[in-house]
Amino acid sequence: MMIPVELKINGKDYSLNVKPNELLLNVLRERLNLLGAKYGCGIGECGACTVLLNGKAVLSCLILAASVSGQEITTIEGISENNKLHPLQEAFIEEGAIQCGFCTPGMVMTAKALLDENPEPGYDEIKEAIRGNLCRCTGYVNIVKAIKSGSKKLKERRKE
Amino acid sequence: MSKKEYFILGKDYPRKEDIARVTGKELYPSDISLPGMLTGKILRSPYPHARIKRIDFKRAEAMGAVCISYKDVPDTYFNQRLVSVPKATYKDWQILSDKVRQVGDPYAVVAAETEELASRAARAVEVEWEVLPSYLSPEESLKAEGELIHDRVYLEDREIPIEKNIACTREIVEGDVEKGFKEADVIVENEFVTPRVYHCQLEPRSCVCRPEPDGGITVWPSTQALHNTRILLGQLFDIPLNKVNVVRIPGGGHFGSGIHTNSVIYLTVAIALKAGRPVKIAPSREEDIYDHCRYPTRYTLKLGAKKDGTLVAGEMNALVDIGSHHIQAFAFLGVLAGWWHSLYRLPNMKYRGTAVYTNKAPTCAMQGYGAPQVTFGVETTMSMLAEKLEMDPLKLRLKNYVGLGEIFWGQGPSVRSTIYSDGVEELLTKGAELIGWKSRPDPKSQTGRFRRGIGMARGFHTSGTGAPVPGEVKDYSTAMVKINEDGSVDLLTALMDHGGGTLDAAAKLVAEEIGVPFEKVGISPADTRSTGYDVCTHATRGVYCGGGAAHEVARMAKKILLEYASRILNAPVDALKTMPDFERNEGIIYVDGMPEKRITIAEVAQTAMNNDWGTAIAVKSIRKVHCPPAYTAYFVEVEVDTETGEVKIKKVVAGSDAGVVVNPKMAKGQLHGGFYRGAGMALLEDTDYDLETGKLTNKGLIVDYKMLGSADLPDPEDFITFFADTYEPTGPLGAKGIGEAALNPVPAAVAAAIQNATGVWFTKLPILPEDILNAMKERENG
Amino acid sequence: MADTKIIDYEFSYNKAAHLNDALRHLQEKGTRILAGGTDLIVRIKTDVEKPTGIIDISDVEELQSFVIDGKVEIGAAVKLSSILKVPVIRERYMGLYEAIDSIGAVQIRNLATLAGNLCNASPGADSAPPLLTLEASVEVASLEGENVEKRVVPLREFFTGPGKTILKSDELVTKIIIPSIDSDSGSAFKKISRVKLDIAKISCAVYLVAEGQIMRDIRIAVGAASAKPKRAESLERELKGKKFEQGLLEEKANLINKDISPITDIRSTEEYRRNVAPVLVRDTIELAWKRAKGAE
Repeated sequence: MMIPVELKINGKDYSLNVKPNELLLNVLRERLNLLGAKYGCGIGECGACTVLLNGKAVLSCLILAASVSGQEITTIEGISENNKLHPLQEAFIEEGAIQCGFCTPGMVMTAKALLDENPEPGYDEIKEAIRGNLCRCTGYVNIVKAIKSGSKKLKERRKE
Repeated sequence: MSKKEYFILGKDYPRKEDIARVTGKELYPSDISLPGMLTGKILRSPYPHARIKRIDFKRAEAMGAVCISYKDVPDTYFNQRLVSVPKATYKDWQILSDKVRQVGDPYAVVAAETEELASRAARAVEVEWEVLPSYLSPEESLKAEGELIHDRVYLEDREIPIEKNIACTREIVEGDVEKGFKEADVIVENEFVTPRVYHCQLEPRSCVCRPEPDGGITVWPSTQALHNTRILLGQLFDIPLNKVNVVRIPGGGHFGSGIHTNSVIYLTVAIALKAGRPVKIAPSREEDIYDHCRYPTRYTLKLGAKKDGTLVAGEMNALVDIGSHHIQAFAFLGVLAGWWHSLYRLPNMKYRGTAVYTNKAPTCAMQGYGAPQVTFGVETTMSMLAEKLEMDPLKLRLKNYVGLGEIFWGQGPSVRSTIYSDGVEELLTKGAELIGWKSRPDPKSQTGRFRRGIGMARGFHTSGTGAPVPGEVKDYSTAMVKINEDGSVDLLTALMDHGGGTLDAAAKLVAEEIGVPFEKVGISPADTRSTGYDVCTHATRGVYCGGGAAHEVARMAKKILLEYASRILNAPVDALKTMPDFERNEGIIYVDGMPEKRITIAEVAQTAMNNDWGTAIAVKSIRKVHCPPAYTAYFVEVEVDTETGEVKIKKVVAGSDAGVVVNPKMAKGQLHGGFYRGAGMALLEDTDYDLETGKLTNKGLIVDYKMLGSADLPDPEDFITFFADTYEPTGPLGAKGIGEAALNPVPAAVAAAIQNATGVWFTKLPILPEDILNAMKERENG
Repeated sequence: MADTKIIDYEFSYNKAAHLNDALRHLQEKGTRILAGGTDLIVRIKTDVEKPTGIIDISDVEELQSFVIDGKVEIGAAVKLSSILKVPVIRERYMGLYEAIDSIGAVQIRNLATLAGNLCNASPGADSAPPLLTLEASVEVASLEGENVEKRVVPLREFFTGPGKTILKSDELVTKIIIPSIDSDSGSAFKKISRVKLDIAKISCAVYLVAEGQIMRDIRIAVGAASAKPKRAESLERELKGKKFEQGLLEEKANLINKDISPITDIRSTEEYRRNVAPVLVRDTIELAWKRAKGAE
């Protein structure tokens, strides 16, 4: 059984045929070469596979690719415009929020969804928002700081 | 010696890898894909202890899969970890065996065109098992009557006898312990237990291997040890080392789980060689959790002190449940004694360590390598002694700690060196001030449901494993530094960055030494064919040893550069200085005292090339003859809900003595991360086994391997970090390590904070709410 | 060993256009409903289930309904995160709000549904205790020939054991119905867990109606402490109609242990659950009371 699927990923249209058992994460990584989303646990506990589905953070390891036809997906590869980093990406670098970097794509995507909805979150809101993103390196301190500073940067960029 | 003003060190720059990592473009082993690549799956034992009676690949092969079992691979005995010298390396591993020793033990590998097909083929392999009696605790192991877990273990080429599943033992004695205890006025003795923590590095350990047409292999592995992996693969598959190319590729976290060459690496090579095609094996989380974990320990610790607080004697007996294999339990038993003996001066000590096999996941290094385990017991005991002596715990520590000018042997009895920098007093004094140590509650007078507690612990890690005389551990690094014709610099080394900024630190040391802006130093891609041996990026040796080698070699390259410059400037080499010109983004060479007589490094390099003088380039292997202690101290404030036993971390003060701090922001990040993992070890992390099935009770799923999350940790403002103002004279430009020291005292500090709130000293980790509630009840009931 | 990286076998997949369509597919043996997939896909990956067909109900319009009209009706395909965004839920159904907010992480709540959380019938399902205290019901549909048949089942009769409900294999929950609540009511949900992102060791929801200093009505439900989420009836009886007093709570809270039958599992022990149940119940009642009195 092959199912035709139309996807808009990072603003680009894709048509492909998938089998019902194919997971969105694996389609992104293996078929479309979008390697930013990672496998970390496969059961929705680590957040490394986080992408945005119609602007909302979701776990691509728990989504059948066949089920999201016609929808819009944004991955880490799609958030910098014209090679200019997203303010959150800048903030992650400046605050030292990246260590091994394996959690970073998922973490940035969750943070982006948070700021899109709540442009000025407090520490508690940030900590709650990323509670499903496991980072084994940083102890989260610099990540929380980066999201906070990213929110300020985003506000400034919006003013421009 | 004093610190000087540096151009580059101590300043924060965006890390060189950061743009790739934040845009999703960094490639990790599980991201690598090659033309014609197959995907492999490792078949793993469902039984804790069993032997294969029959294995049949017919159905799997009919599906197009390539398959291997023990029959298809060399039967060499080896050890996955080659950090120790051969005479101290116990060999009990085989690539594949007809015997499995734990649930999750690899027994076969299949590879097919897609991961799905490989997975189905794996399910189609037929195996008939002879199930053997299993040993799931060291106590059971020591009573073994049936078949032992290992019947053959080699030390060099000598088969050594194995009794009662004992992997190895070590005894270390200094002074006269009986006499020592007789002199003691106060003695404290307890049993301490520490958990079998899982590294849970975010990327399951993975590997890609491409067989080359010339009979060689190229390998992209998750590892911390490129060169040891190269050497082991060459030995196992009988490939000349100049045809084994192991490529440096970032791993999604290590924490010690890749100091050795994990089975996924040589199994990928084995199946790729059989298939004659590139193969990737990227295991699932469930597989990874059965592959490695921290050494759990159970030990009695007895310390005796005189009335004035002087320690006089100590005795320690440790039992270590090492799981299914040696990944250097012998070295581990040595460092247990080393960490203990090097925390506080002990004129008389007696240590006995026993490592026992069980049918569980193999244990290996994890951040601290025994130090968090031992520091937990030692620091707790020191605080208990302070209580008995009615002495301030800080004062007791300052009186006894091993510091400046003294000899220590943190990395085991064969790695002795002298201490030349020591920020302990500053760490304790400043940390105490920042947390409000003097106004900490008195546990005896605490009332109410929610109780605050403040606790502290100190510790250290060695910066590498160097010592004046080579001992049981190998420790050297090789670097090459090349000054390019445009004034930029290439640094080539097999050192790795696990996320802590090690490579940037090395590049900064090179930039500082040569006198160019940081951006001018590039970190070359590295593999084992283009780099010299580097033992491993482990043991908190990255900056001190690896960076130290880079720095030393930069000095050599600079010497050549200055020699060229002296010809141009017509001034002796000794009169020449260099400095970065940040505005023009280049390096300058000038005559000391005559700053107008200057030339850019680019001009010198170009002139040297055009005149056929050559390139300013140097390469050398460098062994450090010290491993200075990187000291840390943690002060932690918690709130305990005495009705539910829940513990909240309210505030953390972390102090580090890392010598000259090369990357301040990354160094702080080490303290944050070290605290988080240490607090997890103190409060919840452990892997338990079902004693019936031999399976992990969490079934390998991290839904039941809980770690502290963002929402369980304090706000950034409540995490204070600071650095002692020290200079390490044996280090590159005054620097020493930080990495593992950032975790070592944490479990002890958390336990002390809980004691301050509840009045109960916990001697077993993790300290669960269940335990706290029980202990509080026991206390109430007298 | 399970493989959480891929699903290595094939099944049929259909996306239902309308309820009838979904129910028709459900009549095929081995077919499972996918609403958010956050549980189903995990169960498939970990070899707990092996459906031969999946019927995806996420696009069925009839199941997207969200009606607030005295009572509240939440369609089976409504995402948990959408429920949290409804001001009435946030302001008046705080117990339910807190319970949903404590489920997984935002990425899970953006996919998962309330009906899914109930149908999995985990004894520790966070949404069950508040819904039990709200005396919610579920509407269940099945196909009789060409006609859609519906029945309404009180939630307290819905669960039959761990992972078990009264649902037949061809039945589908279409919506959750919450009757209107008293204007003087307050509710709360609390749980004790290993870390924030976790299934409860034990959870509690309270709904109460204040009349002066009297708890005119009080409903208490506990999760992860019995084979199924359940109301604490003995304790309710002791507290209903009584004056709200710390002393009374201290005295009676221990009765909760009559209403529950906790076990030891990987998350905690029976002993611990019994020890903290009275504490948790007390804390939750206090919070609900404050809210009923408009103090929070």
